[in-house]
Amino acid sequence: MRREAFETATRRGSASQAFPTGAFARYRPQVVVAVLVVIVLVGGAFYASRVSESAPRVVYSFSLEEVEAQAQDSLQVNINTADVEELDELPEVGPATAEAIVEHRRTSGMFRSVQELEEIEGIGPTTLEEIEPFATV
Amino acid sequence: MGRPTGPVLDLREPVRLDAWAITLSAGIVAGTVVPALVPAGVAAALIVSAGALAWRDLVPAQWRLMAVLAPLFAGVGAGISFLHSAAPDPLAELAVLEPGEVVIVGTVGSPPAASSWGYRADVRVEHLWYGGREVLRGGRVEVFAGDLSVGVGDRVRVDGDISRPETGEDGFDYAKYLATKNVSAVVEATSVWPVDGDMGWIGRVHRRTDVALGYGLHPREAAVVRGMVLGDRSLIPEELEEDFQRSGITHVLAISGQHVAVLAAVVYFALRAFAVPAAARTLTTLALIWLYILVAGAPPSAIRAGVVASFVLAAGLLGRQISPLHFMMTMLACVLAYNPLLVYNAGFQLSVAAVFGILLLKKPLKSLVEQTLLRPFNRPPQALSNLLSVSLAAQVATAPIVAASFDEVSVVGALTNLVAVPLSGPILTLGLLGSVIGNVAPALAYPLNASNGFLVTLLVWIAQVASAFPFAAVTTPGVTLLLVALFYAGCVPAALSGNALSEKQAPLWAAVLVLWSILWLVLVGAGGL
Repeated sequence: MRREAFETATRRGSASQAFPTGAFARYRPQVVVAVLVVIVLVGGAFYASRVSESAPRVVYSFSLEEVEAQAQDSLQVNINTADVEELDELPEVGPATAEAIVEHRRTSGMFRSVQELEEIEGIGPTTLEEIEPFATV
Repeated sequence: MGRPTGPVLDLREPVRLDAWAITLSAGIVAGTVVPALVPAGVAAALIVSAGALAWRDLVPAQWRLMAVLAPLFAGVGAGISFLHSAAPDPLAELAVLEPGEVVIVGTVGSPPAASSWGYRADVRVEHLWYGGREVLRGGRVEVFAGDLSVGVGDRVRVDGDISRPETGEDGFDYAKYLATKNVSAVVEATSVWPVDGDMGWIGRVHRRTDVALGYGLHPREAAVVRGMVLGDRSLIPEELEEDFQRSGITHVLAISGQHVAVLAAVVYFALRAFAVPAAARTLTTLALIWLYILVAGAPPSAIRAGVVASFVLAAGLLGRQISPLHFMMTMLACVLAYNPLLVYNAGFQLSVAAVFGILLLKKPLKSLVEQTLLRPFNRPPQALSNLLSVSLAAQVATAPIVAASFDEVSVVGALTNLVAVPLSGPILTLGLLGSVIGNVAPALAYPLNASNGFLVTLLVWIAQVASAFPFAAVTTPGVTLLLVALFYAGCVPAALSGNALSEKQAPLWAAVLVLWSILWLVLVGAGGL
């Protein structure tokens, strides 16, 4: 009976009468429920991705660029103030070269540029190229 | 049967909207895994919709509204996945910079587990300081530390270096795995301290459970029961876990549908025995199920089971029809809307595949079992027939995921599960009772735990004996998404024969399915595919 009633309802009108005519009024409960389900799920997704505690948020306008700069700073070694251990962390610089840098500092004064490291024995142009990103004055 | 109260709304035939959830889930999965396919998928749905609007006979009458609404559900599914993927994650952005040491105050979100470097646990970030300033709140990190004497829910201060997880040498994308748990970064901790002695209640429950299970249980058996009751496998010896995996019964250690079903049944029928009214009974059972899932650390498989159990119990209470397949699809839509990245979580995949396998393949496999293995019986014992077909269906449905995730598939699993699954029910029940009673009256816990010890010893023995066979498991390196899809394409005829095609052909298609599974495993194992 139910199916017949439905089929009669869908056949109401001529074949040219397409689905939309009066159909949404007939299917209003289903459409309303479908839209409500969609709203609830989208709302849940929005809450989960942006509002809930699992969504990280910035609380201090400490720009990420600033952090990047600081992180970069922490990797750089000041060749005028660093001790032997810190200089030893520079690429291609071993304990002996680090000692030589400190000795050069003591005898010839502070470095005015990173390029002056080339004056140290054991540091050539290739090594200097590797050291440059991690050294500062 | 009385009329249901509330709004008069009948979503049953002749108007079928059953496919809404699978359409929406497909949109979410496509948007997450292959976003490039979304426009094509939505366009296809629009064409179907326009066709159904203009052409009355294009789709069966009862499915017409569903066809018309298909683009809405598919589009919303894709939109949900974009909503998640476009969400800002400053914690991950900070970690990418590898800025050095940070200080985090937060709560422990998962039980500490052994790792290659000490222990690891998830921590929910409440505050994150960098360079003496609080810069972030919220999100999750995975903390690695030499020693982690903390429990779930404990409030801790973590000092350590923050970074993004790296892809392992074996190609395992650790970042993606952690993302399925909403974890954005890893912290190599130099120290992890409890804050103000603020111990979490879940951690206390875990610690008290350990004590309770210690009454009358050998540490190894206690570790297995602890794994089954709490989902915390950190105390199970590595070689025993390997035995469980090779013998195909690891799933009994994961909190999943079986655990939730056992708990729900115990609570529901106990309350019914005390003549508790239906509404109170259902609500209490629901509350206890979700409490249990929380205590177990809310793994994806448990959440899946919890959502389905909630639908089943709510349907009973509201006088609605119980439709397992529709509930599973609705669960998928709800859970993936909350976290689309779960689609990459092996535990979630296995849990979903096992249940879909049982729902779609059990019927044809049962008819095959009854006409072959159980043919000597005039009337095949239903319990054995059901057990065999359920075990086979779950094994077949999960085989490609196990192969792709663990590079090894258990061959003996279909047989070991015949004993392991029935054993795990009583072990879990006695484990739950032992955990509760051990905290109240330790003396009473001894007989319970001793009985359980015998069952666990049997389970462990089965795992050890089965895994010792040289053919217990087949190695399956290099299984790709395409191979997994190919396997499931081969399952379609059998799945349809149990539901849409002629039932007479079910044993034939089930036999084809079994042969296809064997062939796929042999070829994948031999590197022929």
